[in-house]
Amino acid sequence: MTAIPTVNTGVPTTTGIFTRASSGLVRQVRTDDVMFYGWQQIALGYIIFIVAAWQFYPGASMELATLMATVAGLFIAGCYGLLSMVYPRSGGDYVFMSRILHPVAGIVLSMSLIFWQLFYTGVNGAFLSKFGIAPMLSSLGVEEHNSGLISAGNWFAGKWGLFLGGVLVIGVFSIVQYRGAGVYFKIQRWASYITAVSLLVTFVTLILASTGVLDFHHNFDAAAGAGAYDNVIKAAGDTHHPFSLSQSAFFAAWPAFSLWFAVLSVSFAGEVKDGQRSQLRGMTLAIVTMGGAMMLLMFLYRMAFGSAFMLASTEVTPDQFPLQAAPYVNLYTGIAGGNPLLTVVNSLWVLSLLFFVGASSMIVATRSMLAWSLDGMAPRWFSAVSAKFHTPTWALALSAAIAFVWVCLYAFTSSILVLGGFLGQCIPFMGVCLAAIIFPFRRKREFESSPIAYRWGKVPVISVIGVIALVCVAFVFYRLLIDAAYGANNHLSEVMTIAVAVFALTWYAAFRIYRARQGADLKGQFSEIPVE
Amino acid sequence: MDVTDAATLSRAERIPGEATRLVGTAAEQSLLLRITGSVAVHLHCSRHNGLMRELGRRPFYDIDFWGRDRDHQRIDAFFHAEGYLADPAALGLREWGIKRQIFAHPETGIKIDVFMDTLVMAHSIKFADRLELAEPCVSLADLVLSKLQIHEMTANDLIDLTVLLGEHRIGMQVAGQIDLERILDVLCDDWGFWYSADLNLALLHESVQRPGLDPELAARVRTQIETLRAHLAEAPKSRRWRMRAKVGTRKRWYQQVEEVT
Repeated sequence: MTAIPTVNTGVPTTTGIFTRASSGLVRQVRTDDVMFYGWQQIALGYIIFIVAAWQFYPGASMELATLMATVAGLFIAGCYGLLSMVYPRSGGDYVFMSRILHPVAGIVLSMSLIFWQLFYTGVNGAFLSKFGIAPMLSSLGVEEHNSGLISAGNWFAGKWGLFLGGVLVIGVFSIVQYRGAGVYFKIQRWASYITAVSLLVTFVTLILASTGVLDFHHNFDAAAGAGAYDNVIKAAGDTHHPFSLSQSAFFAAWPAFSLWFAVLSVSFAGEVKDGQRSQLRGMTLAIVTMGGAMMLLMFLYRMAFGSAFMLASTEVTPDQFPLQAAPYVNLYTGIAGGNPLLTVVNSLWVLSLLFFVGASSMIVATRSMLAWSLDGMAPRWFSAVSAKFHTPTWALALSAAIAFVWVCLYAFTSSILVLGGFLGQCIPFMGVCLAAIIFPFRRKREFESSPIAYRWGKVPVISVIGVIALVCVAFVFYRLLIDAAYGANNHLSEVMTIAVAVFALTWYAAFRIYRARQGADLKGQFSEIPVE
Repeated sequence: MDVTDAATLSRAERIPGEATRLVGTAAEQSLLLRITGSVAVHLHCSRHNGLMRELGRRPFYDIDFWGRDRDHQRIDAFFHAEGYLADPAALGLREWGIKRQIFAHPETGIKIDVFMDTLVMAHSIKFADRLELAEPCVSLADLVLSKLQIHEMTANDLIDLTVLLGEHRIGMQVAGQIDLERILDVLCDDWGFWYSADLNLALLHESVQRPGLDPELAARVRTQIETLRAHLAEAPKSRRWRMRAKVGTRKRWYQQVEEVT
């Protein structure tokens, strides 16, 4: 606020006196909340299946691939963060795209994002069972020679375990978010502190295992039988491949699937304290901290367990793997630690992040629905709030229902694969990158008066960032389309990606006709920043 | 005077009466509301109402209340029954942990701002257990604190503080006096608030030294400011206060307040 001298008043005045129309407002969501939200969206626990996919990229460096994804993520964050400084409104990417590209692009791309975010709300609940609870129980079972715990772990990795995890996440977070996003962010803050502590313990455990203080090789043989470690490597044959930059670049789509999603904090851009800077800072910090943590974990996993063993254990058939559990790195971390308590502590960050990632997707969905409704592009009940908590009850219920359908499909059919929703989400990412590129030219006056009117020479900085980000996303999109190893180009994913776009186009046309009949000035409406 | 000015003045004259009426009607329904802000200054400082106008105090156009968060649904229903409409833009605030409700009357244009449990502005003041200390307004000490927490003082805020300190002595927790203990309790536990309050008192001291104000009133206000600053300097501080004081102004010591349009 600029100091403005007081005028037209008889009060004895002095310098440093301001004007103010009415009592202001202090927002409650802080920069660290944005960063923690980014942590939940990134869900470092995905590293379990990211590392398991390393075998498909012979010669790839996991750490270099993650570095590439991190740097690309920073450019994408630049697009989202800078645009949210111009449009600090809930519904984030929908608002940018509907105002900068075209309203139809806003609805179609936003609906595509929401559809797949809700896919992951449900599926991530199942991931909690599969990649969090199951490996922890299996680890404990192996350490304690307790077949009951191993069976319990396998049950959680089975159909009903996946279903239970999904229902648990959807149920718990529907209730928490019904109580208010403020409540959710408080819980998220504490979960993030636990995540940080648990992650530090895991780093220490892995450093001890890398330096020989803890002996993974010995512990694995003790659990699986003498010579088991060497037998796994032998069974896989030669896993060594010379370093390949192109394979590293191809592998980068896996960490990208995790790291890039921190930018979705723009969905609650209107609620962030110091919105001018907090979004950009928060999402950048999230990508840098989690990108760094992912690289460090990958390095320490390789040092602690051995690259040859890690590759071999994912390449061999289940009957050649000596443990009755999936060959995940968190199982190995537990075995390396050799202590049940340590296993539980080491599992906390995986459990916490996989528990919350579904909830973070739900926030994106409900905020976008709210923004569509405020624009008159969705029924009013999308933005109806409860009398008690003032939360968007119906948007939440609809989100939970869609997520529930996905959990059922994931748990009881084999039609859905882990990265199945990434293809559909790359398209809105590209939309926002494109919006960033053209914003200074298409909305010239807004750009010039905005806090992001920086230039390199005569070229707007946001356009340059947008071009680099677009190239990165387009590359990953192309790889997802042509490479079956990602599982993103399976039949259902491709069909649903197109079906959602067609559905959204129809939706837009229907609401446009309806609103035009009501006499609404849609052109004028979409040239303004929405009110909240 | 044009029609707009006349309407503004007419509304401003009605506001103190309307505020008092609303507190009384709410009390009949066992709903606790207390007036704060400039209307409370006007009601607490009846001897200086004329002076407020002479100094150019902006006419009232809204009423600020403090209430209890556990009553928030009843507060909604109460103002609705009194003909006030909830501001749709403020409906979503609660979801994000902001305990505040905003209403407006479609005919009179009077705006109502209700803060619940805590005033969260540049600095925070918890008041949930202090609402019953005074009626129909918040206590004088809380009113003074609500002005001292402001980071960017306006001319109206300075007028309000001038009048408050000119009419009421800083002393004990008795009617008509500004309870020093309460002010010390809050400020000596929060270095940031203490620092902002000290800056504001210095600003007020400077403003009342300028010509144009009744010299007797100016001298009284200056004495009050000096008394308060001396007490604030000498009073024992909490460990939290002392630790934060070591960081000083290197870290932002106040919350940034967004404008509400």
